[in-house]
Amino acid sequence: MSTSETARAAILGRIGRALGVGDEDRDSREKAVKAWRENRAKGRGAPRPERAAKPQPQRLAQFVAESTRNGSTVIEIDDLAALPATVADYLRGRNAGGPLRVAPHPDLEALDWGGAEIGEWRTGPATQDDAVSVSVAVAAAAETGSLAFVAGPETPATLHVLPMHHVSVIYASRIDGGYEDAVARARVANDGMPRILNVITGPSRTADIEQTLLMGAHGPQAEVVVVVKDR
Amino acid sequence: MSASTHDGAAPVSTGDFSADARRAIADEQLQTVLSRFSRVSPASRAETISRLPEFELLRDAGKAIKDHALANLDVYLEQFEAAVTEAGGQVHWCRDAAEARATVLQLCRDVGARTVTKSKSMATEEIGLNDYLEEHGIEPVETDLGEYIIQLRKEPPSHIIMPAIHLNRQQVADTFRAAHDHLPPGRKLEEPRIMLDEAREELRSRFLGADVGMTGANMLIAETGSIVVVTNEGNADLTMTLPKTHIAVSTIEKIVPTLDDAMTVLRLLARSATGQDITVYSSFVTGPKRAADPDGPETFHMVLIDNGRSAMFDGGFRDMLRCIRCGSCMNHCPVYTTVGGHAYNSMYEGPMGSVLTPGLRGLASAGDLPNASTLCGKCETVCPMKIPLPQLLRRWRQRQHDARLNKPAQRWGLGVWSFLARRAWLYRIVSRLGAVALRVGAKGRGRLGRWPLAGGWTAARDLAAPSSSGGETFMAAWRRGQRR
Repeated sequence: MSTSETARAAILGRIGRALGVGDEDRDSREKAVKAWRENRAKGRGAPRPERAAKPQPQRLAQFVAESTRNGSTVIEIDDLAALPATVADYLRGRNAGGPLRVAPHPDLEALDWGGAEIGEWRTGPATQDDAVSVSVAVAAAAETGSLAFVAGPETPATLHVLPMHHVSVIYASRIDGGYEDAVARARVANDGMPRILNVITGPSRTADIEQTLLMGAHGPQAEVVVVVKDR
Repeated sequence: MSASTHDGAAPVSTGDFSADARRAIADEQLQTVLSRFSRVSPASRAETISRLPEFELLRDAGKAIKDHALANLDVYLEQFEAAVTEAGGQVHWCRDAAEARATVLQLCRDVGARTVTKSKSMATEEIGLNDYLEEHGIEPVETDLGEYIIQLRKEPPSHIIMPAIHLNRQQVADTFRAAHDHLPPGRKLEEPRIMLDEAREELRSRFLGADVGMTGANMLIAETGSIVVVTNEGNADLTMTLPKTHIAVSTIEKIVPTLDDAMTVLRLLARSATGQDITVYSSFVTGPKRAADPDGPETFHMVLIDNGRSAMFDGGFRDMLRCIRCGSCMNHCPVYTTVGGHAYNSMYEGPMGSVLTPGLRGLASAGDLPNASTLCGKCETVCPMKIPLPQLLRRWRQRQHDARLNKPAQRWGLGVWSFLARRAWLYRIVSRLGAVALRVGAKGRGRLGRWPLAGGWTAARDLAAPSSSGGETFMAAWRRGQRR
């Protein structure tokens, strides 16, 4: 047996002895685990806070308020076609710029980025040289204004952490109430768990020097959330 | 001289809690930092929780989730292992620190690694991984800003989530000036913003050049084989996305049953830790990159460590295994906020550390810690997992007594008291004699400036004595009906 296998047997053995080693003991544990999972699958589980279960008409406003509170800049647009100009405006307003990296997502690739006076732009995963990135969130949770991203060919995970400015696109119809709904939506959209599911709430920050809160620790200093009002 | 300099003048911990605590209390710089910390941290937690009226319900739910997971831990660990394997990852089991260190080293050597970027992991602190890797020619680079600072200073962390909380900005600036010696020595470094930008720049190249990215895990989800890693800086996401190999290091009690259960814990974690609604980056990692993914590591290793957990399991300390490492107990602890983290001489400080460290290291060498508490109970009231910390501290004290590990004078004193307390008539006589002795000693002034065996008390204040008119015992006053 390898060291890992020996260790596995020893650890599980010790836990098993503490919990009861008889066949019936083990059987009852397996039943308890199965029952727990079935309950969760039926949506019967831990209590859901009221703020994580608002009805659909209230969610957009809640999402915008919570995102803003957590440090994001929220911009609402009626049509995705307005995105390149919106990003260009935002960057001009912040006096920011530099190479733009757009996620290779069909919705984004269909847009006219060249016509938006936005400078150099490319699609693909982010590199060290990119200053701004744009990607599409698969879901959002209104309870804290959080966005969910599924890593994959259309959404490279580097886009969310390498550049200084990250622009997230979220369709209003995909804003859910709580984390459970947003993660479930992401899981369905991806047909299972992706390599990494990023739940992001506001820009990167640290308070490690004298508890002084500063944005842009290792990830983006600015998190821009563009809500597309598709309903 | 500060107790926390990195010039080798004084080690931050000597292992003697009393001596280190005294030194910390005399350290003006540390006291300034701690005083601000003890105001800010509880206030931000209280503010966030005021916006979530269901917080108490969620505490109960969080406790129930962890109790259930622990009561069926063997089944859940097997499920987790199967799911990680199914997702293309590999699980490595390790009984103790030595096995874990050797496993990680071998994994690093297998890919010819020279540098490893790390996001904050208490499990790797616990097994002393950084020193071990360095001794074997592999450079570990801490990327959490606080961890980076103390790694440069060769100091241990002083708080589980704010490892550099004991330092002020001047000390950080001095550290950077000494470490980043390729930059102009006369550059401006006064503001935290400038220091952060410098650290960001320095660490970027490390992120991009690392052979292995190593993270801890805040949770292990049995249902999906996912690990949950939370940070505010985004350093974990860079760590586990850029290098070709991701090694996650964690301990067996971090299991939760399902994704939805993880959400309940997330609602508790950041609110208790930093007073945020949620940490900025909450990432769920399931195996290595998929075939079509344009970025992410090619291999995912899960190093799963016991290191004393299974012994705590059947040793009366199972409640402690619910801990989610938020730090709320220390943020609210009158002892921690007075002496700081280094006096605990452990990577786990405050009340949770005082319970956990003796379990990991043994009572013989960590016996001061369960006694470093006033048992005021604040820790239990703010613990998101409702861990009965004062009860567990008392349990260690009792074991210490039973194993004759406490001081002879303390055992003798407790022995005398318990002898008397079991004989009510004798107790009354002795306490009456005591009251008379105190009254005579006070010479009618009603207080005592000195008293045998009470030097610690009378050094800073008088000891109250029974008044010369009454001079009765508490029990006598109680019987007379003075029940105030």
